[in-house]
Amino acid sequence: MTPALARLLAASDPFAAAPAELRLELSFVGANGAEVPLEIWRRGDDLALVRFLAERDLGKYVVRRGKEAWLLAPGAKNPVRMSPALAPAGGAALDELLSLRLARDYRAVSAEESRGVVTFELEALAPGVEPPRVRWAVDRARGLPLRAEFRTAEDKPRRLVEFKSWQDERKRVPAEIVAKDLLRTGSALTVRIRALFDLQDASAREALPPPPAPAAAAPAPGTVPSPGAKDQRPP
Amino acid sequence: MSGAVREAPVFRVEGLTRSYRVGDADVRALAGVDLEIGSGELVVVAGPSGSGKSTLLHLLGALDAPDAGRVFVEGRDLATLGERQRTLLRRRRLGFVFQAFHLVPVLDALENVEYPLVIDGVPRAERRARAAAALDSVGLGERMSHRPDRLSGGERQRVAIARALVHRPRAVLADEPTGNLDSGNALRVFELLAALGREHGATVVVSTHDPELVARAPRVVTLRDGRVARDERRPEAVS
Amino acid sequence: MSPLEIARLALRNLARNRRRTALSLAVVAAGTAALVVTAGFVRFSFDGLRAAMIHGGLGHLEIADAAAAAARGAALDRPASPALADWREVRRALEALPHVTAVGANLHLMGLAQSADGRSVSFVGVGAEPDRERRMGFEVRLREGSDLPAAAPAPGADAALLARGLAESLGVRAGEVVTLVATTPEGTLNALDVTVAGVVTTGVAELDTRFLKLPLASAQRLAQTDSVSNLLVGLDDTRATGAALAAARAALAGRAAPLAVTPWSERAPFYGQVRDLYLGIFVFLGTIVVVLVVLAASNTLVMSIMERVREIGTLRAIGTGRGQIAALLVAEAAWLGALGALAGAALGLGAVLGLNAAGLRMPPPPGAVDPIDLRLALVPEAFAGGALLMILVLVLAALLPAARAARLAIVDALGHV
Repeated sequence: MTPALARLLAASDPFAAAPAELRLELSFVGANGAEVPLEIWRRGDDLALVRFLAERDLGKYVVRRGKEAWLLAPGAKNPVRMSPALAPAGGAALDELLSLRLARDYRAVSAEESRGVVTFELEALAPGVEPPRVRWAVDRARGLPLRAEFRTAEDKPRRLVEFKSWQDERKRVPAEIVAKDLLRTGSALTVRIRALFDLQDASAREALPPPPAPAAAAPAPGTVPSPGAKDQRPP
Repeated sequence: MSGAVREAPVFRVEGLTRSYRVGDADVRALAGVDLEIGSGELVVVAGPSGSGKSTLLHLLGALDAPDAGRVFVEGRDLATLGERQRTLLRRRRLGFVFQAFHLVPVLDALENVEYPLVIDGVPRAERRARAAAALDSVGLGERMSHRPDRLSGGERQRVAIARALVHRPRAVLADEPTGNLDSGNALRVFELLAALGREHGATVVVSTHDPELVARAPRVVTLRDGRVARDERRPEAVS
Repeated sequence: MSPLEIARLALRNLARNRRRTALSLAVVAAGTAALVVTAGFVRFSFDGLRAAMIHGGLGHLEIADAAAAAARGAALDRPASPALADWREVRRALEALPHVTAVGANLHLMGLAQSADGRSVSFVGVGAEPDRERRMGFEVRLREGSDLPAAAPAPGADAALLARGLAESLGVRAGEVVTLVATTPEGTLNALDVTVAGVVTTGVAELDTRFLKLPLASAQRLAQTDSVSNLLVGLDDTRATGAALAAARAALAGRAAPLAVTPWSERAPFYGQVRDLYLGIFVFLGTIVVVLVVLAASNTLVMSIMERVREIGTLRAIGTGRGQIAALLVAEAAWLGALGALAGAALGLGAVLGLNAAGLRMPPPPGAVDPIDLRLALVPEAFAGGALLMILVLVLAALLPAARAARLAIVDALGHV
């Protein structure tokens, strides 16, 4: 691989410039076409809190610590541990994208160029890195990724993510991605990112809306499996 | 045709020939018999056993068909009759008496006598009365409800005679009717046949090899080797 | 000779050899009884299966969004999406129809059930209306605990009935709490704590490992929807299904989003298969019975004719027609058939009543859970049909020997010893 291609690969990493602590405002387009607005609070790659914002979803959260995730719902007293099978495709795809560090964690096995699109075959450097293999397609002229196919260790396609539009091309923050689950039903989920806030940037903090009123059925202290999750809350 | 002028004989046979195959051999039962039997006649067909007596009666009664020759019953050539017409002829014009009686075992005496009327569709009340009268006339008025197995041989044959006459046939064919009876009963049966035939004006043809009966017959046709050896009329010998 | 006289004489002739006649009658009676009892068993199986299906959750009719129903196909265990939003109006229209006892709304769910100690098992669930289902005659086969309350539960008071396999896998009993996780129509997850009201069996072993039932309100709370997947219509008489189907289709015609109205029989292809299987077995058994009866009967008929050759000759000699002889012999066979069938019907009736009184239990059919009380049905058609069949079979068996007897040469027959 030429140094030029290596640079292209390193520069195409989405969210690579994202701050360690961030808040994302976004929405899914649900299976029935309805928008599901939510926000994601994130510190590093290990801690994340998803807060559902629609009225019908009031009081619903997903907390992730490392590879483990819990669902907090007003109808359930205790957090429900979410197996990967339960994770909604869109959220997982986004999480995977946010955690993805192509330059750090992967090496390119091959690269092919065709009509201005370079397709890299990437392989995880260390075991345990998810996903183990990625087929990464980049628009050479713009330096932006077009498509990512996440593959299993056995090189079977698992999920396809398409970058439809960009909110901030420089920081490589996408505006709309479509995630398609290739293992299961093949249903596609659209994720629309409205804004990304750097929580360590005071100016960004000032732009925040007032903190959400904790719902009555919000998890009681102590029952939250990850104390770190609470730290993610804005002060 | 000529019936108005001269009544046709009840039976007329011409050149009657009939053979049977017994084992590998052809047995000629009748070898050219010519015979005429008139209305109201009582005829005994005599001859040793195997002389063709039974065969002749079978042919007269439309039970069998000759190899050659013709049989006329009341002037009608049997060869021209179909199966159904022959059945009707037997049912309405003829009566049969057999050596072994041949009563229907599941029917009582009255029912046996009634049977020819049943198959001819005679209304029940009428046929009961006629059957009872017929049984009376053979002296069995008291035994009407007895089944054949509860009757003696002579009584059975008298039931058979009643059955042969109940439908007022033109002729009765009795094939060795006394063959299974002792001499006293044999005589009584023969005389009964003769008397009832006379009373009904029926022609009666009886085959037998009993000399006593032969002696009492007004006409004796003797068969030998399938031919008429003698045809004897004895008007004085009325039984 | 009138038919009556032929019949009388034929009956007399049957009395000739009582032992043989009794044997023939026994064969015919046994055959008839076998048919009657088998028909009773087949009818019992059909009725039981049908009732189990209708009252086990199919209802007589299903109303679903046509597009959703088409997407789901014939599969019963795949949940229908909650596509009926105006189901209350639809229900009002349907409950006004004749024969309708109640219309229950169902919301189908799939998800994961978790126990307090962290065990999780996937489930298929249905949100239902217990009060209406009771009116529709739906059965709840409780093994433990109690049925769902008739009234919709308040938030936080949700309850569920777990099938026994599911309860066992989760290690929960009545009174304990499990958390249900399911996907909402939007595709997000939701969770709901439900108290196990009772443990039930669906009657189907496979379904028992993953089925649960909860009040419609709870199911809607979990799925975050006001819609339902389908409506089930219960009728007061299964025979009215056709009429009710037409009435429901007429009542629901002209909607913007067309609704599919499906009778229970189309939703239970299994029923048709089982029915065909049982009918096949019945026909097969009937054929065997007929063949046995024909063999036994024609043998005795031929024997009884052979014994009477001389008598037949005599009857022919004194003027009985061929047709009369044949009719007589066929009438004897018909009597055998009729009397045997009568005895067989009585025998079959006694057997059915006796077996029912004995309180026998059948082992559970394949895939089912509970043994079944044997309640053989009395099928009037089987009695009448069995009797007619026997008469017909005997008559057919007699035709050939009777025709032969009628064609005997008289002289030969008279000389027959």
